[in-house]
Amino acid sequence: MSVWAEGNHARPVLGVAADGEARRATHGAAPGETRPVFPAHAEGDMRVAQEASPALLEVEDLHKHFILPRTMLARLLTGQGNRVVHAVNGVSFVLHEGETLGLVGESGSGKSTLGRTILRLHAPTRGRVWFAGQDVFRLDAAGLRQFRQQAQIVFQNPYASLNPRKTVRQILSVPLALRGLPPRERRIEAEALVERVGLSARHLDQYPHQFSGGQRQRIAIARALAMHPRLIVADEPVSALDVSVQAQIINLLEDLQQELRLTYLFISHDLSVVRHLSNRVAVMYLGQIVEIGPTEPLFRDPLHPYTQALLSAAPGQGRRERIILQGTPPSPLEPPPGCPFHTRCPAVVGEACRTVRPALTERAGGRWVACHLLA
Amino acid sequence: MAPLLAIENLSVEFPSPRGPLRAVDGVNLRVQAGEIVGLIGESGSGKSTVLLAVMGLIARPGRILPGASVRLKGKELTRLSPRAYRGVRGYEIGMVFQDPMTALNPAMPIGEQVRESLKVHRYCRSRTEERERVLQLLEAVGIANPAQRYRAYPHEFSGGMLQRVLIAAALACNPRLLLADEPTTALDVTIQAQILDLLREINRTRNTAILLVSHDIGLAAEFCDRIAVMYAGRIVEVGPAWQVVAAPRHPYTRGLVGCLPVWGGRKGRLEPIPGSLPDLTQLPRGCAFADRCPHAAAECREGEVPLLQLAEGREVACIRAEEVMAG
Repeated sequence: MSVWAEGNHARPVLGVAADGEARRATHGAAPGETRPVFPAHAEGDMRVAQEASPALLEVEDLHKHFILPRTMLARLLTGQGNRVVHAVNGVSFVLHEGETLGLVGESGSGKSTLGRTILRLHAPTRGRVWFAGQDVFRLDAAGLRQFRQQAQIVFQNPYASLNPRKTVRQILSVPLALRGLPPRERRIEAEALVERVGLSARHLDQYPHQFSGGQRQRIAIARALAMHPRLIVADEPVSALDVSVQAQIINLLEDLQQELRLTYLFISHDLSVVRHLSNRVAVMYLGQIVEIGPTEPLFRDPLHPYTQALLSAAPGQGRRERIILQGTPPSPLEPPPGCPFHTRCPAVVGEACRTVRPALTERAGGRWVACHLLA
Repeated sequence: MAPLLAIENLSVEFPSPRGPLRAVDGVNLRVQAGEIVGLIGESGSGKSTVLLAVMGLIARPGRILPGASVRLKGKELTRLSPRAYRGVRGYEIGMVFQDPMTALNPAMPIGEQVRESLKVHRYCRSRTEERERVLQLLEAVGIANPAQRYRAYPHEFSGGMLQRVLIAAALACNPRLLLADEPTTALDVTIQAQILDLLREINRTRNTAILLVSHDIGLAAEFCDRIAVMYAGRIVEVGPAWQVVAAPRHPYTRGLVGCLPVWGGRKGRLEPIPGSLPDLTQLPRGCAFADRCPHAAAECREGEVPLLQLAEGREVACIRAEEVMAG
């Protein structure tokens, strides 16, 4: 008997949001309401097109700013208020059921903050996130609990994300208890879970330190699966692992997606891993998405100058002409006006680049790019 | 031509609760003047320990086993006194570490940190000359306004800039050999490209040989002239960089390449290597990879497996290399 079959046909419906606003999961907006157009899939993309699945997650102009408080003395001396880190700065995209969206960008580009804000692990500064038609930021306590069941996260470092004082069984029984399983069923399901991620029942009574990095990441994945999620935000899940172990975890993630129709937001700085796993890819720079589109066209023919430089800089792709960018990304404390990339852009920088922030605009083949020079 | 660096029969052991742990086991490696050699392997393969052994930085209770030889320009390093070794480090061999944020002293201006090795080795005749050379070095590694940046502290720099400072310090006395332990692993990919570009330029203009330790095969294939692949403390394959990656001969190298998501866009399944690293306290006499190898036969486990010469410059430690090549 597969414990997996059970959870899949009877998914709980999310609690209705506090203001009674309940949305349908499809693209349909209420009559008379205009919804912004998002960089979604288009007919050009075969892989996404064949899925033809509804949007599971819609992110709409999401901002997350962190306040860095200054001391009273510093405020008096500088005559300025607190400083603000613009970690996520107006991000919109759609994620379809069963799809993998790869989120790439360098450190500080805001990709992890974006993933966490979507899951409401950070409170947003501004913007909306719709999950299965529900406004995530307006869920009441019960609705939030159900949302958290359906949207899980796997972190980068399995050495830090597992409690060292708990056995695998204890780690897994927390989400199973939250799902309301009685102890006997928890035991059975815990066994099924560890076996599903490639460990065995004898591992259940061991502690995290007794496992290798790859095994720990399997446990972290089992913990996420225990909730029967629909969406998994995977934040650099293979970056801390050696390549041979990395390949095992990538294969596991692919198998689980097939079997359970999971949707992944796959955050990584490793372009070859993202290319391998993703249906579509979003490229972030300084808190904004500069380009998003189906994986292969984006990798073969990047449109945005930053995407071009990023892809050319990655090793292991043959001897393509390398674009070496000058300098380092600007600080998210003081993002430049206009295009976030204009300070390093090797393409011609016009007046508009310095002053007007380019909007993501649609190109052929379901691709979207934010660049004045391509408009 | 005599090699710049010749490592012969290098073995390093560390005591552990389960008995002596053999981190490096009988490594032979040569680096020619002006050459870039990559030492590739997964964590625990012993690649960093080889670099530390060359630098004479294996701290007690770890030890280099007798019978090992590390020669730089013909001079034996393993028998040097600690004092004599200090004359080699930073003077004849420079070293760049993985994490530039922790490799520098946070309480000392970066210019002074670059000047330190000039001072220690009495490279210049006067302080003015030292300062002059530090400014030249900072300029050469791409730090703008070196005169202003001389007094700046590490926290005022980004990771990529700090790595440039470290490279400047490693090059201060114009060593013929630069050891680089994962010099770009802590950096973003566009910054990594800048640093690799800089190292390549140094290699070309100064003819400085580089021994690079990396876990990234793709990076090594592009950056290095030759690659040596390590597994469980032993070198299992050596050859011209592109050949090793494009046509690996050792089953382990093949496995490693099979694990990589390929840039060509192949969407097939990755092929992980089954099993895990052997226990380094109980290394087998025979091939250490035999338990995970699809081609293993009884004789693989019987005796030592030496590096066998294949074509010119190509060596493989596999007695079944020909069968492996055949498929």
